[in-house]
Amino acid sequence: MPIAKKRTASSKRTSKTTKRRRGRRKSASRRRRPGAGYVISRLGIALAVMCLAYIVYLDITIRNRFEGQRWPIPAHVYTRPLELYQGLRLSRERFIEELQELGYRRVENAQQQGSYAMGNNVIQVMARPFVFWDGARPELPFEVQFRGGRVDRLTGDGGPIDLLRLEPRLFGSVSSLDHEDRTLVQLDQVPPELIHALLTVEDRDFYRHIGIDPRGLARALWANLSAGRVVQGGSTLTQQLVKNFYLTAERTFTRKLNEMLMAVLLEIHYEKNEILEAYLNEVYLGQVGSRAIHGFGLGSLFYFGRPLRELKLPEIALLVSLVRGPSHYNPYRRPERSRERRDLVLDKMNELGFIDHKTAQRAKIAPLGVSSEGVQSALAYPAYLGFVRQQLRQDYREQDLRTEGLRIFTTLDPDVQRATESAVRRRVTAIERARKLPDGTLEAAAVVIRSDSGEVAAMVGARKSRFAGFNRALDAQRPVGSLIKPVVYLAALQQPQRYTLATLLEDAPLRVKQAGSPVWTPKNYDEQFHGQVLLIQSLAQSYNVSTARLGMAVGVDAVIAEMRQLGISRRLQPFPSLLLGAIELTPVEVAQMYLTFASGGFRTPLRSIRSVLSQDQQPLARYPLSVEQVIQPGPMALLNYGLQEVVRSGTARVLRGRFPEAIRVSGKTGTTDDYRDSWFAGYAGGYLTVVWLGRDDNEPVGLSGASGAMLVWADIMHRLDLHREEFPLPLDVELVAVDPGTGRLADKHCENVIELPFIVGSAPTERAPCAAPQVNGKVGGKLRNWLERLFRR
Amino acid sequence: MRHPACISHQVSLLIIAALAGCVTVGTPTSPAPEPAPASAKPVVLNLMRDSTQSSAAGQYSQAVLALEQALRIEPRNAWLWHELAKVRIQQQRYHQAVQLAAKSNALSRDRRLQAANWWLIADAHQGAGDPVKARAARERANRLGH
Repeated sequence: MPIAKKRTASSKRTSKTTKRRRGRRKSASRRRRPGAGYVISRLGIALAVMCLAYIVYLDITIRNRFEGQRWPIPAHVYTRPLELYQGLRLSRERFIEELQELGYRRVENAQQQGSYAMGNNVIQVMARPFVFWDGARPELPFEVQFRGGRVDRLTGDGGPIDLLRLEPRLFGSVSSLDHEDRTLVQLDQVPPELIHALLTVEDRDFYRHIGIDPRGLARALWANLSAGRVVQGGSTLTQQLVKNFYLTAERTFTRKLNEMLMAVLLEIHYEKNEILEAYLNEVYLGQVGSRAIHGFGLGSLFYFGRPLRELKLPEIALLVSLVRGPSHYNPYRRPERSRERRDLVLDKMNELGFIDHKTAQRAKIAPLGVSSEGVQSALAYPAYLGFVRQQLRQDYREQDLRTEGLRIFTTLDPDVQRATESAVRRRVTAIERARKLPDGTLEAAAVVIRSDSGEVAAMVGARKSRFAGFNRALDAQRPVGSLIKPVVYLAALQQPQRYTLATLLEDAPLRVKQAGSPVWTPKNYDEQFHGQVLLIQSLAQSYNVSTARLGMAVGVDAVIAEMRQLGISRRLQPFPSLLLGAIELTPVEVAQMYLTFASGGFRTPLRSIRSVLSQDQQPLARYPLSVEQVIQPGPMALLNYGLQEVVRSGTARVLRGRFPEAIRVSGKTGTTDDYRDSWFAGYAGGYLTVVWLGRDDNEPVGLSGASGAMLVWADIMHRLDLHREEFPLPLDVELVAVDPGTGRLADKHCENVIELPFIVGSAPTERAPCAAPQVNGKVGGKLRNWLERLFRR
Repeated sequence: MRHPACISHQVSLLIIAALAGCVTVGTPTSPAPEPAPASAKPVVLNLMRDSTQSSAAGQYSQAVLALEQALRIEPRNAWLWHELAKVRIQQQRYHQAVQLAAKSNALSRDRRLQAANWWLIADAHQGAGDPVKARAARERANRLGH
């Protein structure tokens, strides 16, 4: 144990000092009269004691910090891992993109971790090892073949592979108070070339000196004098570490003295390799906004998008060249200067014999190879990260999030996120131009969720989604308008003996008197009244007056109670205007509410986190799938049918035909007074997506739900892999043909018959005027069979 | 405490399901149609198999992981939700078991699966100490004729 040995050495030194002091005391006591010499010696002793005390203080300081947790490590946040299996819808191109985003290098033959090779019809990959929640996966060679936009074959060394996970990608961190970010590396993970390069340019006698290096200092002094400016620093790596780790940046003599003392003390206590490892993790390598990139581990990810151990010589030389001044040699802003410095590092490595001339020359030809800034910012998802942080705060202390190095595995799907970002960006710009709105005023938010698990796949909080700022998805509270209506209809349909989809509602002038407020007289958007309308039509056409009337009959309190069931926890005032959406919710809240519809009546908490591991990869917490049935299958089926009608014939009928027949689309438009907010919430094929458009200053944008948000919604949904499986009609729901004019039973004599689902026992019993009188109230068997076939398709 | 009779019914269902390769629950009394596989995707069937094996070895969290992974591939597969409910009941997480079985029911018109879900719900209620709800669930199962 090197540390223990050194401690013994220092205690020996202490006992010698004590002996010396005792000796002096004895000789002093023999003198009778204290002379000047005596005083001086006493002063000297006092001074020595003070120096000693100071050194002891410094010693304690360095040991405390060095032996505890050295750095606060922010929680690091990862995307979902790509799970590959035979039959997965994934194009070859998309797969290659995923590999490139993970920093995989294209090579001739994929022998090394983090590389891939392309054959005729096959991609060969050497996946990096990774520690997942359920254990470590070692590095893994495999081959994928694609056919028809799907994974066709997946094989490893031992034959076909059922399912394999690529590693997830780090995309953000919950930054610490001083915004220092780093990922720790151990010395054995660091390529030897990096150590060579670092020692070459920063401290070539590192393994020989005692923390300070007089020879190095003299060499630097000479070099600086002959150059007439500072070209070399004389500090050892140990001194640099001490300076950054313990001291402030001020340039005073005292600080320099402290630095040298502490460097020596550090060297007395710790092994060279321990000091070197600390240096590798401490060093400052760049800045993004308020986030300071520290250590070669994060530096490598930041500049090259791949782990340190995979870096090649030119990349290593570039990273090392940054030590001298990350902003001075910034490869993005000063590529020429950066290249010069990199090449200098390579030349010096050659001079000292770490690499031969040919290798140095070859490395100097290589491009800088940094991942583009555009790529970097595109891979940051500030809105999603904001949501993750909000969820984390429910279970973790802020302090722990910023210091404990937690590894957070999220449900973010980069593919869905990219589709969402691009749909928002393009469509919002197009709408703005088409509508001649002032440039850059129309803002947007979008949330995409997997309907059955509640996993948030993507989130966009601004049309310029890459820039952190106001997260509208999470924080913009806006009136929801007609998005609220399904809740009113649900409250009604929960009473099958009173309301069915075929119930006739009155769409005629309505005046609601309420104590203390002006009389409420809701109007329709088309400023007309539609007389008697079927409940399903009122929902599909989003009629205000008939909905308000229905809501008043059901009761505002019942509607609020329903909203609670659907997962809205905010306090709501029971004003009648709530029935038409005069309440403000965020897009995420709307998503939570509609998720219950999309998942067949099961309230499922929105989840952005699957699991959390500790810094040393130990499992800490998992967020399992959990559901809660809050709407019975019967009423849920009726409401879903109504929301499909919105797309078949209602306010969202433009969507009809934009999706394959087999994919059932349900949705609802939302428009607010003076066209200030444009909403669309809709679900199909296993995804629920909510989109909001509007202005931050709440000025009108002239867009209805259908002419704004719905277009963005369709663009997003088009790019997702939509499933075809749907909720079947529950066993207690039957299909019955009705006459749309009267809502009564129809038969083959009637025209324009519509088939509607009814909870068994609630179908109309009265026959429509067009139908032949019949004793049995039900529709004839043949017609019913035909309708059922049609409905199930 | 769980009612012994319910446990035995649950166990027998488990055994039947296992015999049928976790694909379908059949009873000797019903004219057994060709049991359809629980999924057309081999990866899903394998995950179901893994989950059954993990459950049998008492490694319930592994079983849950396998089923959640399968559900990411086929979120609307009623059999997977049923299997997940089965694991939850073994973990004595009765409330979630009931909910998951209900979700399975919402996704299926297969009367046998529905009956199996109602038996499972009955068992969960019994386990949670609610014999009234357990009886009602058993009646639902019986009405489905399986």
